[in-house]
Amino acid sequence: MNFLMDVMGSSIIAGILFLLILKLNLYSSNANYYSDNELKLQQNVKTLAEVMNYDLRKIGYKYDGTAIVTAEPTRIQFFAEMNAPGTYGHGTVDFVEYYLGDSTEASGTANTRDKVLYRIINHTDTLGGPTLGLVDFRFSYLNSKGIATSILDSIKYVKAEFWVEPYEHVSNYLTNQPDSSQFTYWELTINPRNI
Amino acid sequence: MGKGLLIVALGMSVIISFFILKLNANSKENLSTTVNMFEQTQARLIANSGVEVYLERLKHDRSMMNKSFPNNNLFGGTYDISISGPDSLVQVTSRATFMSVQHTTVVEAAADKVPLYPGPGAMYLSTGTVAGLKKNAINGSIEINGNDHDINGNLIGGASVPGIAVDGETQRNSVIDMITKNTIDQVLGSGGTPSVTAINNTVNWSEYALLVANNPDIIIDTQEKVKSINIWGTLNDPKITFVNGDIKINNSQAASGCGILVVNGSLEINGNFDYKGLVIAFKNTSIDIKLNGNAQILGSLVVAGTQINVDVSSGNFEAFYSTEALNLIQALLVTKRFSILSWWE
Repeated sequence: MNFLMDVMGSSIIAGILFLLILKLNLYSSNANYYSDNELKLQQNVKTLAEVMNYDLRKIGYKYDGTAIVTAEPTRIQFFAEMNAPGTYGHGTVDFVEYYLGDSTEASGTANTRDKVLYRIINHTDTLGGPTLGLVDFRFSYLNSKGIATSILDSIKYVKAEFWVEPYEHVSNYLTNQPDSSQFTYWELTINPRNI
Repeated sequence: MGKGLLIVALGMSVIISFFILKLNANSKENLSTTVNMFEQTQARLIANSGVEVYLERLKHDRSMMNKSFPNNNLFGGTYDISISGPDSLVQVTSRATFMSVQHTTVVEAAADKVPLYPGPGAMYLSTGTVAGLKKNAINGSIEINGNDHDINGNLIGGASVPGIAVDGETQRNSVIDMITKNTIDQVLGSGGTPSVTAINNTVNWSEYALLVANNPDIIIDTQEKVKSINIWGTLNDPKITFVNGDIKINNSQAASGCGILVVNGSLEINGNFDYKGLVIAFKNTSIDIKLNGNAQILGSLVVAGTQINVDVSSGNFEAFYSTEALNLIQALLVTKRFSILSWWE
């Protein structure tokens, strides 16, 4: 009888331990996934910020006249020499366009809301690239006093805001339902020196 | 049983350790992503500031053209500068390094020189100066001549300007009253005798004087700097001289010069004085010429301060307009600023 009691007791304790390990494993997997996603988010948003920062600072470079052609919330068109001084191709002014596509163009990801930001140079060189989890993007245009303007000549600052989410939603390991999505918001206001 | 528990405990420790390590690595990577953005921004700001710093220095020292200036420290980083080109197209390249992140800024600029305003007459008196004129402000053996003279003071056939130029009819009448009372008949130049004419002055002389005196060759700001013989530039080597403060040239001293003389303060001249070029008195300047010798200003005298008194007890005072003397100062005019033509960052 004592022997049976020992076996049952140890089995229960072993079972509890086993469940604890299982739970810890699930939790750690989930936390890892969440953490990876956050890192990816941060890296994606930084990549977008770097590209925007680089390009928008060139607005009007080596161009005489009104450099910004279109100033809309999700589309900007401008003239600028995009090649660095001393590099191949320097000396010809380029026409640059950015616009935000819609969510149907990014069907390869589980996130149904992500979109592609297009960068077109001289009407032909289209760079769509991956969505990088971009779900929304907005340009706004400010004059020298920091007041929003739509007059192309008066634009002195370009503000870019973007919202980035993970490609996949993270599922809650208990409910098996996607958690509310993580997202990162980035905002940069650029004063292109050539306008 | 004891061994089993030990194995389970060790297993759990290993899992937890891996888990913590992974989270730590992610956290570190996340931080480095953000920090890298900051480093890029800082490197860009250092490069841009380097350009601004060196354009400002270049304004005052043109010998910096076509030279490189490596290893400048700023905001915890370093930057290298190279400057090339003629004045009309200066290229400044700034390469900054901050925490191993590099950024290059290339700027093209054009030197924007201070324009030459030759002075509207042999003598110009601003409204403020005329308001402060004393009854005998200009008195004695005086000739103010707006006809064009050569560099030696001889009349030539150039276009004439007013002997004394003022801002309006009220000022003109005040000046004519004063010189008539003091029987000064040698105010010659355009518009008849006495040649006192109201002109449309569009120059802010105070601002202009500051621009011109921004980088003076000679500064006289204490009485100790006035010697028995003072040479403030020569025909072959004109200078910008800035008299700043209360300065007196007594009758045992003499001053001669060529170029641009900017006066801010009180300048009292008792001894011999001979200047070729443009003399501008501005701000709270009071010019007192109490001559026991000879004084000649060949070029133009602009009085945009508060007061002028010319009292010649013995000797002569001559203010002759001279385009030749004024043309000499053209090369002296400094670069006011650099206009940015393009900025790559």
